[in-house]
Amino acid sequence: MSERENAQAASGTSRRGARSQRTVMRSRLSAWARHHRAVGRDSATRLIRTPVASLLTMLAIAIALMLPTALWLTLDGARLLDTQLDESATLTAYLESEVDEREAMRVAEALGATPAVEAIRLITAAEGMAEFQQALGLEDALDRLTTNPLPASVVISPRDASPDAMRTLAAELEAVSGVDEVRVDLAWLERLKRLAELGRRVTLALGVLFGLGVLLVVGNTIRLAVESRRQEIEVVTLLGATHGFVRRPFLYSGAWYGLGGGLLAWGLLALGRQWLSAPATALAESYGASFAMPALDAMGSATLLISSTLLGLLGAWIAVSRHLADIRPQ
Amino acid sequence: MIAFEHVGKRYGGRFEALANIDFRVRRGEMVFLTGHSGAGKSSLLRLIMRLERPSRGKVRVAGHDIAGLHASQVPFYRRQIGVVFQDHQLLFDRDVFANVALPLEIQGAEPREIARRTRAALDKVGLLHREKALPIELSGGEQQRIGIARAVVNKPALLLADEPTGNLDPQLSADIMTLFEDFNRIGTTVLVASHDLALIARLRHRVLRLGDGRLVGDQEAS
Repeated sequence: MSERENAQAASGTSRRGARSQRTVMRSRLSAWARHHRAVGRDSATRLIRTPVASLLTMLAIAIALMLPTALWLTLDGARLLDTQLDESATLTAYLESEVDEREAMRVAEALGATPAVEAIRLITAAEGMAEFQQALGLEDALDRLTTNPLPASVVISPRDASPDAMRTLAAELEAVSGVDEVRVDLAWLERLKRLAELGRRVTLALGVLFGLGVLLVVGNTIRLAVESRRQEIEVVTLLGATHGFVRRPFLYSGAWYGLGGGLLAWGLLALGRQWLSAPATALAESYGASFAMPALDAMGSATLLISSTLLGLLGAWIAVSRHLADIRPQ
Repeated sequence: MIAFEHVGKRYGGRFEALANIDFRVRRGEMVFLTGHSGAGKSSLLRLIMRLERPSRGKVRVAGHDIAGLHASQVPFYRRQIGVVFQDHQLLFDRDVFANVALPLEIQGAEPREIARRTRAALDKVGLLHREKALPIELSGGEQQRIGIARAVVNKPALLLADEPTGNLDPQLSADIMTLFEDFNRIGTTVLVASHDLALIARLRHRVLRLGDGRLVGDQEAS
């Protein structure tokens, strides 16, 4: 045989070898997928066969998931309010009282030209008086004044509405000639932001705590399931089942419990929203504000369901790993 | 096929279940293991199934020192051994077919292959017509035959049986032993632990006798 024939023969064998290896891999993969399907179905059937017990477990999971989710939704609503507040955060520059209308326009333009200023609105002394009268409803009393005691003012929307930036800007604007005083009321804004931050942290802490709760609920349920299928575990271990094979049905049960709990939580949240929506809107309207109850969007719903499923899976994993070690064939 | 080399097994440091066990079982042999209860028969089988590791000496199966197997390899090793238990260890929540098919399911065999081989194994033990029955509906002898079908369904090279006739009457016991001889005839190495001395004597296979954890007799087939 020539060298070339030799090489061809060798490469032919290795190609065949690779092909049969691929076939083996493929059949192993399909066996694995088949087992997953079968076990997934079987675990679901087991849960359905004991509907009350399964539902109670899922309800416990749902309640644990609902509280942090509801809190998070509320905060999300508050965050929306927060951005609106940022947009409406303004400074007011009161001009010196001797500044006349034309001079006021010039000062306003100068203020508007400052880089950190987004927009300005000039309120002349006369306009200020009109607004004041309208707001107080004291037209008669004010009519008796012979001169207008109000100065012209400029309402300034800053580019950056953070408290620090607003404070710096106020100092800067005060130096402009013709400006008497710049007012910025930051205290309440800062307080609100701190409150929101506190709320976020509380939600996170509660989320972690209730997540642990879900792990415990699923873990305990799976522990009992492992115990009740002890003989089966012993037998399949003797017949050469791998850890993965033994663990798989319990992991699927855990994932189903988690998913069921997540769906239940989702449904209960939607119901709760329905129930609270009318009175909350009425309350907001009585303050002259428009308010929509926050709802879970597609992203939020997916996050809820995926994290609940993963929590169930993790809880099952911990329980099975802990308890399989105790089960050794006798 | 099986080689015990000066094997000792202690439990908890004090109790000596097996001491200096030394024997070989050739490929294709059929061997009985006898001794009164507590003589160490079960311990010996547990060593071969690698449910235990020897405290001293080596256990070789098909040439491999099985104490050296990594934990992840043990399941694959066990798949090459068929085991029949005294209490048959059937799963009562599924039918006969599913019980016998279990080793093939564990190995991830194709569904068609599973059906074919499961029916073949059931046919061999004469219970093909009961494939849809639940184990609870079967007699003790039938349950044991299902246990045997499960042990041989993946054609293991080695078949172990721990008191397979312990709860059966003499006629059924003889039937079970005949079944083991059938499997031995087609090349399977068979090791049966039993204290049914009368039955063993009639079958004229090699007999290993244990007494107080020691090998006290090795009587070749007659």
